[in-house]
Amino acid sequence: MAEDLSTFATGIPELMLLRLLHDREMYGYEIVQAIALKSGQVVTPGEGVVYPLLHGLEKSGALKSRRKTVNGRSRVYYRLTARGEGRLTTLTDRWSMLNGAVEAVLGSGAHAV
Amino acid sequence: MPFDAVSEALLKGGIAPRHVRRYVRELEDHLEDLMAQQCAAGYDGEDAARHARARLGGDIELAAAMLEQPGMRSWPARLPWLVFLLLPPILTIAIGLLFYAAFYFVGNDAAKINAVVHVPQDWLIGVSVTAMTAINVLAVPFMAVLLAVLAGRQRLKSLWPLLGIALLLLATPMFGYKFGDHHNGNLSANYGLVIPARWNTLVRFWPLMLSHVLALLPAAWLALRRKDSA
Repeated sequence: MAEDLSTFATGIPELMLLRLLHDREMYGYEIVQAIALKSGQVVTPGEGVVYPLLHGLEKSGALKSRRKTVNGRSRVYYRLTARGEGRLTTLTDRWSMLNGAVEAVLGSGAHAV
Repeated sequence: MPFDAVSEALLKGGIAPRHVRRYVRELEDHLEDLMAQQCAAGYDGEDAARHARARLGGDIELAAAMLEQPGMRSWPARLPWLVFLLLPPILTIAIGLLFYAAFYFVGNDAAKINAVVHVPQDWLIGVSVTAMTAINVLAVPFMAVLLAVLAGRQRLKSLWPLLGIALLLLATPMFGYKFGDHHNGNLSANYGLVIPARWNTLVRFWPLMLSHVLALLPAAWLALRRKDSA
């Protein structure tokens, strides 16, 4: 488990994407805006890099996509699959565990040393 | 085009063209949304474009993000020996056999077909003979062109397709046939190297010779391309 958690940082963007798409289907630009808004502009990656991640998740079966035209604009919308729901649960559990561990270390301060 | 450099980097990195096209199209859509947002925020033309492009990410960053994803590489990039060496001879034989079976049936059963649909028997046999000769001549060059196009489209090195074409030339499939009452049911298939020892052999195997000459054209293009990229 320790090894899993040490490499977890690379899974944070994935966790955020899956969590956002858990609520409703969205397109890339919309996802990036939602991440920036909900994170209070703390998480602002190069916006284009979200697409390889979305494509990778789709290839692994966690997402499905479809092209949809809304207000005259054609865009690719992504939605979560059952496998994606499972992946979201796993990542959320791991995040909670990691977050708890970090909180515990920070909370203990210098007294524990 | 704003993402030509990204597209080239991805193709050279072995990413399948369909993934590259989709990525670029989504980046273009995203850029359009960002431009609209920047314009709404009060930036004009060039400033809006510059800000939008900066927010999207640099070419290197965009290409690297896709190259890191597993499973996006094309089959020719992942398994070139399979795509360029093993599959072409198998496909050439399969395609040849398929067409041959169809035209052999037409030529051999011309009399029966003629009795049902009143198409002249000689004409059916003539069409079959011509089609089967054409397949002998064109199957290997067609496959050679396919390999060259595949390599060019995916920015792959020329070595693998050149080896593939060489293998096809060394082991060209040739099909034979005999129609009519005296030879009913004769269809032969040969696969292997034919080296014309004498002039009359060369004439006898003219479809094979023509096939080789045509197949050498895409090979020459690949060789030139290799020289240019060296």
